[in-house]
Parts: sequence; structure tokens; C-alpha cells
Amino acid sequence: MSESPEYEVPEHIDNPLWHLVRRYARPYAPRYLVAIVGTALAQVPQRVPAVVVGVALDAILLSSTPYTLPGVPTGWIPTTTEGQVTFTIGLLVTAYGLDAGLSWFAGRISGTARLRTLHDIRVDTFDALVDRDLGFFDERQTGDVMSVLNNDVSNLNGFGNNAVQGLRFVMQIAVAFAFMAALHLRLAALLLVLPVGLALLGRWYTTRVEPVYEEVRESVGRVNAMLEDSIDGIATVKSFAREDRERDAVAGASREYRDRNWSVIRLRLAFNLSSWSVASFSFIGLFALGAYINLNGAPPVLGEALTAGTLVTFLLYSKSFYGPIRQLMLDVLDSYENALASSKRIVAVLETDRDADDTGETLDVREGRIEYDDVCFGYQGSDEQQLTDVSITAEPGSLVGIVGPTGAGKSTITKLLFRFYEPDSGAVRIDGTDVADVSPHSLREHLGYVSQDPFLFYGTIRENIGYAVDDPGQAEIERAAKLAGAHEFVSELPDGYDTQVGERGESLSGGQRQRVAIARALLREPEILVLDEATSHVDNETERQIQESIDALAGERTTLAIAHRLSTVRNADTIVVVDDGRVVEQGTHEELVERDGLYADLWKVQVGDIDAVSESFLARARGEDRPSERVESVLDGEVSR
Amino acid sequence: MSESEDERSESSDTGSGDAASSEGGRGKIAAAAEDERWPLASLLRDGGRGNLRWLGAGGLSSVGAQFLSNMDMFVIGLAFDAMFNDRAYDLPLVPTGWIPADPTPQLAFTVALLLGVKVVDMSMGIFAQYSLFLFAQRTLHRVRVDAFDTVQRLDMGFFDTQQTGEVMSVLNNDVNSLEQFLEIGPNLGVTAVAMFASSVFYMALLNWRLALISLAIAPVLLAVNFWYGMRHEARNDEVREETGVLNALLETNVSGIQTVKAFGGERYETDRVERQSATHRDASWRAHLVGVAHQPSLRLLAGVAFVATLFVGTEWAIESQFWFVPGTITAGELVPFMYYTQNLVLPVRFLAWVTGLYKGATSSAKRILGVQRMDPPRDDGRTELDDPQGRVEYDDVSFSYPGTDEFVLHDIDLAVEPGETVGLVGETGAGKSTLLKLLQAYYDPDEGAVRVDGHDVRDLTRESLRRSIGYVAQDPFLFTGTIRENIEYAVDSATDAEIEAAARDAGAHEFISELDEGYEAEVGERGVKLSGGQRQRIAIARVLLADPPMLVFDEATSHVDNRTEVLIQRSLDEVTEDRTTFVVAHRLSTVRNADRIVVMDDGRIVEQGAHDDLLERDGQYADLWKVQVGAVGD
Repeated sequence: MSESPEYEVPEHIDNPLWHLVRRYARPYAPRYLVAIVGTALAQVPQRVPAVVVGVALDAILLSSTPYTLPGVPTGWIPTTTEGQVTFTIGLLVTAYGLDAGLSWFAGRISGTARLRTLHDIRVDTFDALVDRDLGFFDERQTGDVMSVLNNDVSNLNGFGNNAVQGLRFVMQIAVAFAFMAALHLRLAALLLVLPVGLALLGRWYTTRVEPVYEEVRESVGRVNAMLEDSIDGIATVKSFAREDRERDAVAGASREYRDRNWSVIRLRLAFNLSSWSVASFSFIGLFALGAYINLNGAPPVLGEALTAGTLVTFLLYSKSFYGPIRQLMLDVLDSYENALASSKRIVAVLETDRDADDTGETLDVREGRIEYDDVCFGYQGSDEQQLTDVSITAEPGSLVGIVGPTGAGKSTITKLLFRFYEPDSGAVRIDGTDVADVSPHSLREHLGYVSQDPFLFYGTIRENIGYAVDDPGQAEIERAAKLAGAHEFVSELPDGYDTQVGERGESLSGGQRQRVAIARALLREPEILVLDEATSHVDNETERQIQESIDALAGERTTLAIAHRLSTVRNADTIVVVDDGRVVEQGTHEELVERDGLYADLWKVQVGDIDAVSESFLARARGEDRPSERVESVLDGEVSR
Repeated sequence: MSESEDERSESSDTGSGDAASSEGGRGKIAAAAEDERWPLASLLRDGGRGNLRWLGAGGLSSVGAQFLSNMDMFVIGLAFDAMFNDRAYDLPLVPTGWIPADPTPQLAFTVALLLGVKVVDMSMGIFAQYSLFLFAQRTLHRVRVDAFDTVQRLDMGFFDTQQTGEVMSVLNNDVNSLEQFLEIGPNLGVTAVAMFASSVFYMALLNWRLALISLAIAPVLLAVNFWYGMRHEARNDEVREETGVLNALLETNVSGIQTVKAFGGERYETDRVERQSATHRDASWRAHLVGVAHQPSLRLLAGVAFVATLFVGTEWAIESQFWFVPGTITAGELVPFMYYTQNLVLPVRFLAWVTGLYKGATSSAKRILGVQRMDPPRDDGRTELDDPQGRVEYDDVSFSYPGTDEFVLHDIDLAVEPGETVGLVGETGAGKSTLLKLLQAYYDPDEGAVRVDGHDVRDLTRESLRRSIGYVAQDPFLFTGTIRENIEYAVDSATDAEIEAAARDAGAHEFISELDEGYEAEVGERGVKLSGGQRQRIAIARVLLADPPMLVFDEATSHVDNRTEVLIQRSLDEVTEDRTTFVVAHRLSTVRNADRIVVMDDGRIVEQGAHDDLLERDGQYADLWKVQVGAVGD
């Protein structure tokens, strides 16, 4: 992961989170507005009971002052005690009703708005992602890209939730202070010490804890990596009988994690103690000061007198600040930071040039002649030239085998045919048309592709064979499956063509997957078929079956077959031998064996005649870690764990 | 404390994609602890042994702190009565002589009392947190290490049938979710109960008859809360299900991107993702609807209790009568009473939160216990394999994998002399690898015996047996660390010269010395990229350093390109010279020069002999060979 390139946000965007909000929240602006206003308003009735209890205490229970409420005209208030009790009860019932109603309503509205926004962001991000060129995916690990689509999007969801919380907390504190200010301005001003003090402490804690927390995350990462390492390599551990050593290593990492965790806990305890102190001592101070003013009159700085009921209201409010401020400072701010980091990656995916400039002419394939004309190519970001002066011609209907050592550039040659990458010089032509001039979509319609590791999508076998074809008929699917030699085993499955495969489905053997993949390629009746080492991972028997189906197909369409095992392409019309990015030999099997060059050496290895292999062949193998090969082996996914 | 803790549960939206998919396998792991009624308690009892006093002390002082912390409004209420309502200042448990008679000294007394109580309260609170954290951290460390150690000592049968992902998820996710629970669960649970109990306690102390009225709502509150909790859980299950499907869809797209592009399937995929994302959105919406009604309903119910209490309390205070129910209460008693009434909702929500955490932790605990209850094989009573020569005999061996009744090996008889090189060939599933697993005693044969130097491997300690066999797998596993550490893995320590010699024998020295950091280069995720052939040679060097008398190459070169294979084979010719060597091969070329080639089919040995003999016999081997050289149909 650490090697994956960063996600770059385009320069004209200052704050990616804000950018996403503007772009994706705008269509739901009225909902957001209603949700915000509703949430804010709901906090007003929620704060009423504390005021009412105070007033009722003064006016009804102690009968010390007349019944007045901030913001309520005196004319509305009954004068009899009985009436005042009824009024108080009515007011509270209304407040509770309004609180529940408004909270529920605002919650609903903000829920629809948030979930719709997220859905839009997720779909758009995915859409932008699939259009990125292959280079983007080559440079990144699957998990890394996946985390943009799930973790980052759900971080935004978390932020949405927390933003609503934050709004509620801020409003709760603001409304409480507004009521308090109406009751006793100067004491309210003095009490500001409490939220400000708590907020400052929260700030102090988060800045102090963040670096320590970083270390904790690192060490938990180490523990997990170590566990994974041992479990993945359990066969190795056992074959060397090194269980004790693994135990000690895991115990060491776990102990380190525990110790680092403990430093976070120490900080947290310090923070808890100090914030409790601030909250508790302000509360006791408020009580002392308020009761003193009530008993002995206010000192000049604090202005007017204070009733017992107002003091109760103040005390009740001051008890309610601790939780919200703590959460505001810790969780809400934290989720903002998270969402900001996530939105950076999302925006980087969304806002960059897409590969699919699906313009260009429509490709018209008449015969299926493929020409590589002096093609040179190097992967982006690598100085090494991957292909040098490659010239190959595949006649219509012929089977061309491409062979060569790992890293020679075999796969790269076929990738250029698909226009996954553009050649640096030279051209790839189909029936005389440069593939660079046609739209990728129309180009790929004519190409059938079976990859080295046959990739099946999550879905049924039918969906996989009929992949990206509109509404294929059962007859067509069966025909393709028969051609690929897949029909027989598919019909034997309990669910037949409706068997779930892919990630969470039925496990098929390598050869079976391969044949499904071939059927998928054949269904579209492509004029050109590309098989990338299609048979290197299956056993001999399966290979024979597949090879038979390929042989049966040859003649109808032009086929490029990359082969690891030379036996696969022994019958090809032309075998192209690639080494270090160059075409070194071409011809039929017999011609090439006779020539006694690279192919002949490779063949000797194939038949186990190791002692006859030439020295020059081996000399090359010894130097196999030349950088160019390393690059391709990385790109081919042969990455060291 | 706060208003919103339990809304966090709502944000567990995406991100737990594999949770659903691996549930099946983890279920199997949990089955081992199925009879356990209180899995979490058992796990904590085992893992927390020696530290349980911290749990007890922490819990007790948390209760104490909560009672003291809730005391302040009680004291303030009585002080109010004394100072502003001309009542006598009477505190339970405090001798009347200590309490001053005039308002201002009364105030000073009250403040001093509050401060004193607060200091004790905070000390107990901090002590409670400290002890509970201490308990949690120590316990987790032990649980993590113990669970891992049990797992790694299980026999290979376990790893062959369980996906390593599932085991990992127990060691990793389940231990982490236990950690999440332990960090807040005990404290939160105790706090919730103590908060509720202390509120009820002070309410009863102030006016037990009014307390009965306030508390009448409590069962309703609990019932409603429970009902919402159930509904929320059901809806969240749906969300998790949809999240799993969505993530699987996204993942296949990202890892199959080349196929998507080759088929021009980009728009098709976007449509599928859009549909699934919409399904997911709708499920989330249904879950949200429950959540959004939950809190307001609770507040509304609490409001009903509050209003009723205030109404009755006020009437009692001014009329000493509410309808036909007589009663008395002072103003200073009613105020704290109202505060405590309001305080009843929060613990209920904490309890709901802690129940959720508890449920998660229980199912995690069940899986962890399931892992810990598994029985690692023991070496007790077995003998050490001394000075092994490498004579291997399979004597009429039949074998089926545990839990299946299909024999994968039938009546295998094979005797291999020290120093002999045996090639094993045959179709996938013919039993080649299984044969060698029996040699390493990963499984015991059902019938017959496998002997090394005449000892039945069942009588030998696994450690001494496995150390005498060097095993090289198809996909070599390198541990995170340097090349040197990887080669050194098999032994306790080795000199540079020994390591280099092993690397030379494996044909690895040359490329290692060309790396910038040589033997100190890091391999693995963050280290240098090595090709399959290079990694394989490091793995071979690792085996050779231990200098075992027997070697097993299990398709060791089938993922390596032709050139490298030749290189590896040539460098191995010498080291296999005087060791008993088994080579399982995919490509027949690999074993062409073996002393003996054993052809297996369907769990039986069908042919054996040297390459040329077997070709001459024109049997199964000869057929396979034709495929190898591409002479199909010849």
C-alpha cells in the first residue's frame, strides 16, 4: 500500500469536501435546508423544561416572584396559582411534543438527503473509476482502490451523521445560553467559562493524543501483519517446526501494542480528570456564587439579584454541557478530518481526465488482419522501453503463438491491440486501420479476450457468458459454451447455467473457469481472439481439452495466443518468439527448432532435455533481475508478497 | 455524558463487506464453543486470570463514584429548602450538630460538603477507569497471544479445511471487537446501572411515593427501547447483507478491470453498481426510519413522566393533595426530584448501547473460545528422530481426509532408499501432495504406516520429523523481514558464511548480491519486488541451511519460467545428490532425470520407473508426455 501513488486532487479545488458538498448536496438543497432548520428548531423546546422548572419554583412553590417567562407576553400568563400550574403543564406538554415531532421530521428529511447524496457520490465515483486507464489500476492494489469506494464513501456518511450531531450540540449550547442570558446576563457571561474551558481542554487533548494514537495504529498494524504473516505462512511455520518462535514474535508485538495503548489511556485519564474538574468545579462555583447573590445581594460587577428558580435553571443547564462539548471536540471534529481525507481521494478519482474519450471512428473489420508496425512502448513512469521495434503480421484466420521468457513483453503486445495503452511510436493496425484512430468501444467489440487468470464476475454462469451483451438467448449461450467445451460440465451442475460463480459463488476448477471465460469471449463472435497464457494454470488433461477447442476455432478467426507452455502453440501457423521486448525469431515449430536459437532452447526445457540447453540461454537467466523485467513482473501481478 | 451515543450504531454502514461472506466459516469455528452458556464470561475468566481483582475493584468504585456524583443535586435541594424556603437543614447520616443554623454559613457548609464529595467522587471515578483499562489491556494481550498460539499449533487439517481468511478474522476482527467492548463495555454497563439505581435511590430518599409515580413509566420506557432495538437490529442485518453484496460487486469489478475493459463493459457495470447501490440506499433508509423515530419516542415518554411528576409534585407542594391522593413535598425536594426523573432516560439508552456491544462481543467471544477450545496435537510420549538417514517406506497406506469418506490414497506401497530422487507425476487430485503430507505427519494414514528409517512417523515427535524434511511449496512463502532473516528462519542462528553457502547452493546468491542492500533487503509488502523464481530460490536456500536429509519439492517450479527452472534444477542436482528427494511435478520435464518416476492416478500408483522405461511401456506416462510435448493427436 505504501507504494501506491497518492491520489492527487486537481489544483483548482481548495477543499475537496466542500467541493463534494456543493456538487452533490445541491440537488437536495431544499431538503438539507429543511433538515438544518428543523434540527436547529428542535433544540429550542428541548431546553424549555429547565427554564419552566425554575420559573415554577419561584412563582408557584416559593411564591417569591411573579410568573414570567423570557419571550412570553405577561398577558398570556394566568394570574391564579391553579391557572399557572395548568399553564406550566400545558407548556411542557407542548415543548415535549414539539421536540419529538421536530426531531423526527428533521431526522427523516436529513436521512433521505444524506442517503441520496451518498448514493450519487458512490455511483459517480465508480463510473469515473471504471473509465480510468489500466495504468491507474496497475499502480494500485485492489484493496487500495476498493477502500475509496467503500471506506471513503462511508466516512462521508459518518461525517453526515456527525455534522447533524454537531449542529444539535452547538444549538443546544446556544439556546441554553440564550435563555440564561435572558434570565441573568452577567452570570450567563461568567458561565461561558465552562464550555470554553471544556472546548480548550478537548483541543489540547486531541492535539496531544493524535501523535500517540498514530503510534498505536502503527503497532496494531504490526500485530495484524504479524498474525497474517504467520497464518498465511502456516505451512512453512510447521514444516520448520518454528511455532515457538512465532509465538514469541506475536507476543512481543502484542505487548508493544498494549504498552502504547497504555500511553493513550494515561492521556485519556488525564483529560477525563481535568475536564471533570472543570465541569464539577464550575458547577459548585455556580451554586456557591448564585446562592450567595440570592442571600446577600449581588456584588456590583454581577449586576442584578438572582432568584432561587433562576439558579436552578442555571444549575440544570450547566450539568448538560459536559457530554455535548466533549463529543463535539472529539468525535465531530475527528470525523471532519476523516471525511476531508476521504473526500480528497474521492475527488481525485472523480475529477481527472477519463480514458474513455470514446470518440474516433467505428472500426470496421473485414478480414481480421493484424499488423504491428515497428511498435515501441514503455510503461508510464518507467524509463525502460518495454517493446522495441516490434513488427508482427497475423494473417486473417491464422493462429499466431507468442512465446518467450517471463517479462519479455508478451502480454504488453496484446494490451496494445486493445488500446489499453498507446504505443510510443509505430502503429498497431487491424485491416489497415490504426487502432489509435478508432473508439475503444468499437475496437473492443471485435476482440475476444481470455486472460491468464480467468476472471469470473460475481453472478451466474449465464451472466458471465453473456457478459455485457444485451439479452443473449439461451441457444446462443449454449452454443458458445459448447464451442468452449464448457457445456458438458455446466449442465452437470445442480443449477446449470444459473449457478452462482465469482467471489461468493460456487468454486469451479481452474479449467472450468477457463472454459467459461472462453465461452464468454466466443459469444460475441469476435473476429479476433486473444488468449493470454490461457492454459498455463490448468492440468494436462484440461489443457488438452481447451487446446482441442482452440484448434477447432482456428481458421474462423484470427487468434493471438500467448503461451507459457510451448506445447499449446506447437500447431500455430506462426510462432513469434519475444525476448526482452524484441521479436527475435518467427516461424513454425519445425522451422524454429531447426534454427537452434532461443525457441530451440525453450523447447529443450519443455521436454526436460536440460543438459542440452545452451550456455548463452542460462547466462540470460542469471541476470533475470534486470529492472525492465522487474517492472513487467510487477505489472503482471507477480508481485512479491 | 452525552445525548447521542447510540446513534453511532447507525453509521456502521459500509465497510464490513467480508463479514457476511465469511460468516459461514466463522460459524463453524464458533460451533466448538456452542455448549458455552456465557462465552464472554468464560473467556474473561480465562484470559483475565490474575487480573480479575482489577475488574472487581474497578466495578465497585465505578458504582461508588456514580452514587457520589449523583448526590450533589440531592444536597443542593435540601440546602435550597434551608436557605430559601425556611426549612430545617437536615441531611441523612450527618449529625445535626455539624450543620450551621444561618443561611450564609449553611451555604459555606454545603459548598464544602459538595467539594469534599466531588473530590472523592472523581478519585473513585478515575480509579475505576484506571483499573478497568488495566484489566482490559492485560486480558486482551493474553487472549490475543493465547488464541494465536492455539491456532498455529493446530494440525494442517484445520488449515486445509478452514480458509485462512476466517481464522485471521477471528484473531483479528474478533479480538478487536472484544477490545472495543472491554474498553467501554464494563464501565458503561456499571455506570448505566449505578446511574439508574442511584437516581432511584435519591428519589426514594426524597419522596418515595412520588418516586413510584415517576417510575411507573420505566417499564414502558424499557419495553419501547427494547422493541426499537429489535427492529433496528433486523433492519441493520438487511443493510449489512446489502453492503456485502455491494462490496462483492465492487471488488470483482476492480480486480477484473482488465476484463471489464476488454469487453467494453464499463457502462454495464455502472448500471449494475447503480442498481445495487440503490438497493443498499433503500435498505439504509428503512434502518434510518427506525433510528430516527427511536430517540424522539424515548424523549417523549420521558417527557410524559417528567410532566406527570411535576404536576403531582406541584399539587402536593401547594395543596398537599392531587385529586384524591394526598401527599406533601417541599420545593427543595421537588427540584432535585425533577432532575433525577430526567436522568432516567440516559441509563436506559446506555443500557441499549451496552447490550449491542455485549451481543457483538459475545459472538466474538464464542469464536475466540471456539478457537481456544480446539485441541492442538501433542508430542507427548513420542520419540525424537535421531540422526536420520532418509529411508522412507509407505507400507500399504490408505487415507481419506477427515470428514470425508472418499479415499484419496489406496494401498500405497513405496520404499525409497536414502539419497534417491523420486519424481511424482499424475493429474491434479491424483494424491501426489497428500502422499507427502503423510510423510510430514500432517495427517495420519487410515490404514498402513509411513516409516522413516524404520520408525512409524506416528511415533516420532512432529518437531524432529519435520526438521529432518526440507519442504519447498509451489508458492514460496516469504515472511515479512529481510532476505537474511528468511533464509535463517529454520535455524536459531547462522553465520554469514553459512547463509551465503546455502544461497549459493540454491542459486540465489548471485541475484541477492546484486540487490542494493544484499542480504539485508526487505522482502514482502514493503520490500523489494522479487520474481517468482527469485522467491523460490530464497525458499530453497532456507531449506538447505537447515541441512535436512530429506527434501520435498511440491510443484516447486511450476510457477517459474523455463529459464529459471533450468537454473534451479541445475543448482539442485548437487544438493539432492545425497539426500532423499521427492519432486512433485506439474511439468513432466521437471522430473525427467529423476532416479525413479512414480505415476499416480486416482490415489494409486499405476506405473513407476525411469523416464525412458516408462516411455517404452507406452502407458499413462507416455500419454502425459505427449501432451507435454504438444503431440496431441499424433
